[in-house]
Amino acid sequence: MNTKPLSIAGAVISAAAAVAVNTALHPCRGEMAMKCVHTTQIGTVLLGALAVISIAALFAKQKALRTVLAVLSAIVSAGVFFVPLLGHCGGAMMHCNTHTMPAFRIAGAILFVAAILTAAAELLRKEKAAAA
Amino acid sequence: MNTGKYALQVISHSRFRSLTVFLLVFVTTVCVFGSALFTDNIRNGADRIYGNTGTDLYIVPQEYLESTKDLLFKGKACMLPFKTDVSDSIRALEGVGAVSRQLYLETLEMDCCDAGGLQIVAYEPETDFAVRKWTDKAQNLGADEILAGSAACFTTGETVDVFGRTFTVAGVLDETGMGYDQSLFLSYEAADGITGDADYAYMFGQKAGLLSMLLIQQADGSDISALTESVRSTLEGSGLSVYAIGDLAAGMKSSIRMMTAAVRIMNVFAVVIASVSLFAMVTLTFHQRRKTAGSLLSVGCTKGRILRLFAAEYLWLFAAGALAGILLVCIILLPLHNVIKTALELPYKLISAGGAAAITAKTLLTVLVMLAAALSFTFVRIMKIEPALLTEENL
Repeated sequence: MNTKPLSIAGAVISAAAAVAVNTALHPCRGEMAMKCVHTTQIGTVLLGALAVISIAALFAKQKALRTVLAVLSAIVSAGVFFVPLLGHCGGAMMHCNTHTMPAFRIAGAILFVAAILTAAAELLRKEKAAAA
Repeated sequence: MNTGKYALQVISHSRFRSLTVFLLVFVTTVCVFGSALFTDNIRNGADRIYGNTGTDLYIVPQEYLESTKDLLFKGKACMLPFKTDVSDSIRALEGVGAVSRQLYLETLEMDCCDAGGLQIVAYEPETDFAVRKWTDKAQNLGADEILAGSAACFTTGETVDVFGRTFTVAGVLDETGMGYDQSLFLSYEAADGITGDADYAYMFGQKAGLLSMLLIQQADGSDISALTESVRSTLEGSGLSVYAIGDLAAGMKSSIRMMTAAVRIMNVFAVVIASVSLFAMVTLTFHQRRKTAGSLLSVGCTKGRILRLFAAEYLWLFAAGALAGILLVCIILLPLHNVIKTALELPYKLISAGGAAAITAKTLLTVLVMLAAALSFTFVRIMKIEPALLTEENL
């Protein structure tokens, strides 16, 4: 199975999510330093790292390296999924709770599934090569 | 050749057709599973309101009836002031089991958001029978402690600043499916401190013991109609009205009926379109591969073996499409659960794991029946034709 489409999708989704949580899906904006702002900054760094990993996987030629990058991508995307645990505002209707944190959860979950599929495809390809 | 390997080879060989079948199964699964989960969550929330509030009658000011409904069912923050306290006269009525007072306060809007204030519900831990349904901590709540609704986004041990006072979150309520999920709960003692404070005299008139709603629980064996009548006559001229939960939720009930019916109709359309498309796809594919079927029959391959070879391909695509559909619905609906609950303005409560498993089974069965119908109809038609005609050798 060709894993390039999954890597491209991973790069696009992580980059789009990183832009979205800092623009349309921004955290709460107040005069005080809010917990959700720091959480969003950490989440953005993780999403940026995921985009870089996905682009690196596109150009990686060795199967072993691609597999390692896929596993790394799965770990970082799990981090994105759990990043809301670092802290957010209290109050169900706050912007960070209705927009930013769900965006991290959804992006993290989609990227995690994509990373697992990539890793599985790379491992299966390895088995096929060994069998041949 | 191994049936599974053969199917995978066919799938990778004819990618466009495989992708189309995958997408049909995927879309059908998303529609059937997603809509069933969504409507069942709404129904689950509504059922909880009817069956588990522990309150038989509510007394609210007539002029604030709509605000009361918004607060109870939609989680919209509001402030409801009572002019007179009738709790003692209600408590003395025959057939009344318990009476509990509640006060609703709304905090000021936060400067960082345009979302509005938080809903604060003050209750008496000694007489309460409603809040304790959702947490054991309700009976022993201290004056410096607060309880949070399940969707209020607070965690136990966290500190919260409300009306210039700092409270510690003593616990988080179980999901109620009601507006209480977005609220914060504090004791009447703490609320009296706020309403009696000179700093908030412009809001509460520096008065303690304010009241917004009286919750009544009927005594065992008493008649609810007689009790409602006696409460109604007691309230005459006071500007207050008594309602059963069914009266308060009547409009909401019809909204739920309308919404679930609309979702069901859309769902039926999606399944019909996907079924017809899948049927056409399977028929076309089998027609294209009739020569293969004829050749296999000619060399002595059984009909069952041919069916297994052809069906395996669709079963792989069915498994992948169904799994991807269920996964996508879970990825969207679960992280957005509190957002949907807040935005929907209807009772919404996540169903149990058993309920979700039953919906999954129903969805898989629907898609499988759709696939089996298409496969069996086309296969029977082709198998009725002579192998020579299928291979087109003598034509």
